[in-house]
Amino acid sequence: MDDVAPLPDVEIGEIIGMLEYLKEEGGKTDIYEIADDLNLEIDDLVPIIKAAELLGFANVENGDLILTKLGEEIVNGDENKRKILFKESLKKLPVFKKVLNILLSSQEHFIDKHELLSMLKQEMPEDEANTTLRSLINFGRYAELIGYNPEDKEIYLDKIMEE
Amino acid sequence: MDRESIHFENIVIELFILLALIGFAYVFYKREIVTVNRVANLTVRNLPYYTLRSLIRMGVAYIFSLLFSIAYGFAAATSKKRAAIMLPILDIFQSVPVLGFFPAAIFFFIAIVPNKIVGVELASIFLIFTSQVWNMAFGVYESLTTIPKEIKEAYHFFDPYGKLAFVRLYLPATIPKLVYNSIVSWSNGWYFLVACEIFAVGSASYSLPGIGSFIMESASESKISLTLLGILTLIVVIFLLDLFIWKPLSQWSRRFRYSMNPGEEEETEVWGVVSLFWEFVGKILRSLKNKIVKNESGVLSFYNIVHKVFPSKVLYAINKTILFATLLLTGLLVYKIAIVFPSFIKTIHLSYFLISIKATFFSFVRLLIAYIISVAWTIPVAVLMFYHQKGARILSPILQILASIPAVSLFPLILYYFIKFPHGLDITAIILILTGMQWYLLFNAYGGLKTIPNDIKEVVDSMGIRGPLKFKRLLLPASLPSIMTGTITAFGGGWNALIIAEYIVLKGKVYSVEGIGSLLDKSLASNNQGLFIVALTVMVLTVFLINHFVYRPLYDKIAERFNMEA
Amino acid sequence: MEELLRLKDVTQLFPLKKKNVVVLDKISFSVHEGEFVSLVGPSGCGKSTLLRIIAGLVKPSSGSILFRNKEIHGINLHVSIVFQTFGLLPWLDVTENITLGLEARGVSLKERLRKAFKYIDLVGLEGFEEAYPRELSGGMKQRVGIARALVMEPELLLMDEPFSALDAFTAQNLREEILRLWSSGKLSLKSIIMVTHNIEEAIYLSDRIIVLSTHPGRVIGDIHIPMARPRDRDSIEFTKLYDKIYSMVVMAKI
Repeated sequence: MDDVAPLPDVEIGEIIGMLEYLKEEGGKTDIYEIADDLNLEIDDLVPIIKAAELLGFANVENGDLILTKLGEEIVNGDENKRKILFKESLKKLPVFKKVLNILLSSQEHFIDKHELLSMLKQEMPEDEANTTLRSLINFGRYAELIGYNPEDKEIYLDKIMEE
Repeated sequence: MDRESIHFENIVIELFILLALIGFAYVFYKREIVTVNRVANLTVRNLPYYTLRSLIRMGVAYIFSLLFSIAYGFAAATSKKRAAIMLPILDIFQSVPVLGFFPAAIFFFIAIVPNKIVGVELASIFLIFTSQVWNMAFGVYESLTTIPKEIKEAYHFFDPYGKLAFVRLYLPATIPKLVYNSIVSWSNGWYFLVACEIFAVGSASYSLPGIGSFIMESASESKISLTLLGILTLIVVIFLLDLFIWKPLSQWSRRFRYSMNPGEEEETEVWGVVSLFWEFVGKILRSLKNKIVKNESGVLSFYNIVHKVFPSKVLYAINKTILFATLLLTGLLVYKIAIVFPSFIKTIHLSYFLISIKATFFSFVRLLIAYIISVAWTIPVAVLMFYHQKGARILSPILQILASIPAVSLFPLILYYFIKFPHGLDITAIILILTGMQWYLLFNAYGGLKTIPNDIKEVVDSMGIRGPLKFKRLLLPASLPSIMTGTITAFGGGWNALIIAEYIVLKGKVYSVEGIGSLLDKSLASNNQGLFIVALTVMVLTVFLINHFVYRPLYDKIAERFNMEA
Repeated sequence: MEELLRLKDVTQLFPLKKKNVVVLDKISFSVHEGEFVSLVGPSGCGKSTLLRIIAGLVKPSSGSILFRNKEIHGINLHVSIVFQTFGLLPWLDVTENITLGLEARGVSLKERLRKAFKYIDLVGLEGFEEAYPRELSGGMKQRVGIARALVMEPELLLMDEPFSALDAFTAQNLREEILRLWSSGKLSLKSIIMVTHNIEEAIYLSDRIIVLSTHPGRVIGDIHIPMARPRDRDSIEFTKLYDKIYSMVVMAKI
């Protein structure tokens, strides 16, 4: 089984915004310069970079942030294209693999939020489990991979997956 | 308008309302006193039935409170003119010892309802209602006037005619405070429910079968095991209601709050079984709602319904009629008072005032003793709990349960043990007041201590300030504002407790101590209308004056001086 | 292009105890179809108030607002507004928040949902239909705010500092989103008026910038931005415009 790494605590808008910025800068720029240019704290910037790297949209090399091919496709694509690319990247992440496996194998294709949280807590510290769950729901909703019902507190498989 | 003149206007309005209340008590003072048995069958088998009777009384009063508080809060919040009169009314009813008006309420309801038992029943419901409703109405008013400006503005833009405003904006906005205040009101309600059931008017009693009268009756018959069983039943009922209704409800109400940090997780304080139960109920409700809403898109439109049923002209007419009826009734009351006033004056002797003031003084001493005892044990315990967080976590829920017992329900038990001693009733009265007062103080003091910011704590600790000096320089000042809040609430409850505790009829024998509570009862028993009204006036005015000229200035001063957000 | 909106001597007074403070002083300008106009000025110049006057949320002390040559009183039903702090109702989910305005106008549930899904799709909110505002980040909340405004299918969109409550990347992302929507031709929109204190943002997005002074608020500049999109923030033309407007705003403050 893959090591289930925590997800960074960022929003999709932040990732895409950074990619757009990166493209404007010619696809490659010094990380320190980004922070300086946009008046960002390094602590705020790092999780966004981490997320972009995790999803394969950008690479870090010698202190530079470089837009990948996939990242460029994201920036150039329309909302639907973005969602599709996002979905493909998410499916490769161990955390998503695990959750999707659970959802596919369970009869009703849903899992209780608290149940999932306690599963995540076995793999990582409590704080990270909380942020991972939040990002998982956020990313999954955006990519229309999973849905979340706040009334019943259940995470479920989005329709498109149920083929 | 500056603050001073508003304050003065409020005092004038509040005095007017007080006079109207006393006038009401006077007009509905009746000679006739009903005598019926309280509890017919004092057996364990009948306990569930009596409990149910009490619960129904509570439930009916609460439903009225809910509807009334929403209407009242809404009316006050939507017009400054109305608020100028409606807020002082709120204030008065929250601070006046309502129990003193209970006899008048009984006679009023007996006068308008032909069936006497129904009348007494209605009077008790009315009294529970008055103990619940004002706090809730204030919550509604406060939530409606504190809707964030940007939300109001955005709402107004997208619904310029306010067609859905009631269901989509105002009602949801009141829910967090309404639920929170309902919990407070509900425990007030228990206190008054039991008080109504064990209340004695003159030498007579009337029929209010319920858990409270069960406890009282079994104690006066010396069936102590039944008394204990009754109290235990009451505790269990309160505990279950809290578990199954109030905890889930306050959890649910969190979604109506404005703070919207995405990181904020809901606390899980609701038991698994309970939340499963409500999830199940919720699913049924939602599927029902979906079925209805699918067919008719305008179901939610309160505006549409109202305007379909009542065209605007009719609505206008209804509005005016309510206003007219209120004026007419007020006029009628004034007229009645005016007519009987001359004969009333004749029944009054100057000595009545002296008697009343003396009695009030005695009562006040009783309150003060109870207060001092409360402070003496609650503040050290609160400090101990503050220092030993672990112990506090274990102790807190136990104290919560203890505090949830309506103090009056213990009254028959205390009475049973202490009445034999010399000054037995005095001791009983003080203990009863104490049981009502202490919890407000304890929880407020502890709550105040918990709000001390960490950085201040660290600074004080780093300077090596410990022991009494730390208490004097940090702990006491930090918790003083909330202790003051607790004090005001505690005294408010204390006055009501006096009315029950100073005069008691056990198996036809009257026990009483000198005080304003017993004076009210005695004057009723001896049918001295003049004395009753004078005693009531003196008590109500005393409370009013203490509120306006002691508590409020003191509270303002303390809040200003010791505020943590400096 | 045809004229959409005209302001004629719009004046707003703010009454104090002894005298009136003039917040807006005889503001007059027109907005034509196809224009993206930004209102820029130092804080306290009344630009947000002006936007509320155009929306009909605030009644001006004097002057008039004409929409397609007709004078407007009360809420202007042809415009829609996006708020700085979103103004979402916490107890309604995303779909319910978006369709609030339609519901208030008595549109049937079926029609409401059809429209909601169209705009949820356009602003990239799919997957969040049943989420409550408290579950959403600032960027997502503002997408809801935008969808709520667009679903009314207005001809003129008003935006009050729509990106200033967001972090840098999210703001960047949403700006691109707005431009994309604006140029997509999928919207009923004819024009946009945006209030901002961010000059760079104004130049990056708009066709025209109206500069307001403070105490009292007056129009002191009306500048066309002739640059083609996408605009390069590092180009000489951009920097020149930036310097020009920046000095106007600074002068207006002094």
